[in-house]
Amino acid sequence: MSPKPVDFHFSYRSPYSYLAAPRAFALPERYDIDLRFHGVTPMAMRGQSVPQAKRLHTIRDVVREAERLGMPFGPVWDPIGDGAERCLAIGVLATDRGRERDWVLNVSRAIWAEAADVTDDSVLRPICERSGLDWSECLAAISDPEIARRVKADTDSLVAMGQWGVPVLVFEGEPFWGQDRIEDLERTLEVAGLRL
Amino acid sequence: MREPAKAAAAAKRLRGGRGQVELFFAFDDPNSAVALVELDRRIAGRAVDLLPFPVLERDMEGDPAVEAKRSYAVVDASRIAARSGVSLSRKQPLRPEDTAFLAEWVAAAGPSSAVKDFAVAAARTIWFEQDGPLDRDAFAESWRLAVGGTPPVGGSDPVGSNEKRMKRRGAYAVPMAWVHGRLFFAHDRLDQICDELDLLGWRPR
Repeated sequence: MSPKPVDFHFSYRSPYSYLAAPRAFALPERYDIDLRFHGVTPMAMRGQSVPQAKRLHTIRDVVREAERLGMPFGPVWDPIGDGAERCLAIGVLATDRGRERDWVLNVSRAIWAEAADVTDDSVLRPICERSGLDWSECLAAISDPEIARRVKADTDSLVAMGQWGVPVLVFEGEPFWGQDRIEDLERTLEVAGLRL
Repeated sequence: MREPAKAAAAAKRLRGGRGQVELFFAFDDPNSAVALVELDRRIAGRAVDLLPFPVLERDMEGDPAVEAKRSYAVVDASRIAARSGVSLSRKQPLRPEDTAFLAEWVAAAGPSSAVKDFAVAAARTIWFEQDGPLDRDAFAESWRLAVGGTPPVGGSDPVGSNEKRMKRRGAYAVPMAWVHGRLFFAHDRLDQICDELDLLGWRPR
């Protein structure tokens, strides 16, 4: 039997996505699943505003959660706009090359723990190369309209599910929203008999 | 970083004062029920008061996903409750107006130990014991037993006062808890809340 798909919806601008990524990508090591990565356009770039109170609390909560998880957090660089678009395009390329795990873990750590300005080629290139990606292919992906269409399709699929935020993991149509809900997904995978 | 708060907490204890956890919640929200029941259980044994501040209006302005979030909250709360081996009895979301009378009673009475006990029991009844329309008379009887007398009514918009207090604290959703200057999600940061109380010296006796 082929591994059951689990869809991982991720935003490069979401610190909670950053916190979720290492555990999400580690799931196939313990469960018979095919983790399918989908980068989505940040809410703020889809016309959805986030109130100041939420922004402030998110940062405070992420700092505490990062400490709990033993992950570095800060200094950060907000990739909204061009930075997010470049990462989204390279994420599609990385998925096609089977390098999405390395890419997402490397670039999200760079953004959320090293303040990497990913609009700067001299900053982005070593992250891509460290992730096993060819820089010329990355540059081509950034301006490829077909890749932009696939990013939009990934974002639209999240919206079509009625989901509003990220990270979201979806198993058999059931969404698990939040970096702190991976344990609930794991319980569901256990019940489904998918433990390796 | 928390040295001033720790010193203030120590000084308060010297004066015989108690710690406080302000809980902003909604009776129609299942995650609030998880927070009320679990915080009450975890705070017991500490010289700390759980102060219930029920609200009705708590959604982010212009949020297009309000209804989707309410439906999802039932699923989400079910999963969180399952971590403690508990099942939600209700499978469909409630509307704020279904439970507004409870918010008004608790807000009008103001936080006290007896009112907190009523709020915890009501949340447990709504989300862990019943599945159907709420029986206002039965809750009034619970009020009589827990608090005494008949539930208070009216006043100068006590629920609105709670909503303003919630905004002043920087809370933008329910349930959220304010612990001596720090804000936490209340239903899924229970360990952090207890760690914060420990840090401030409000440890279990």
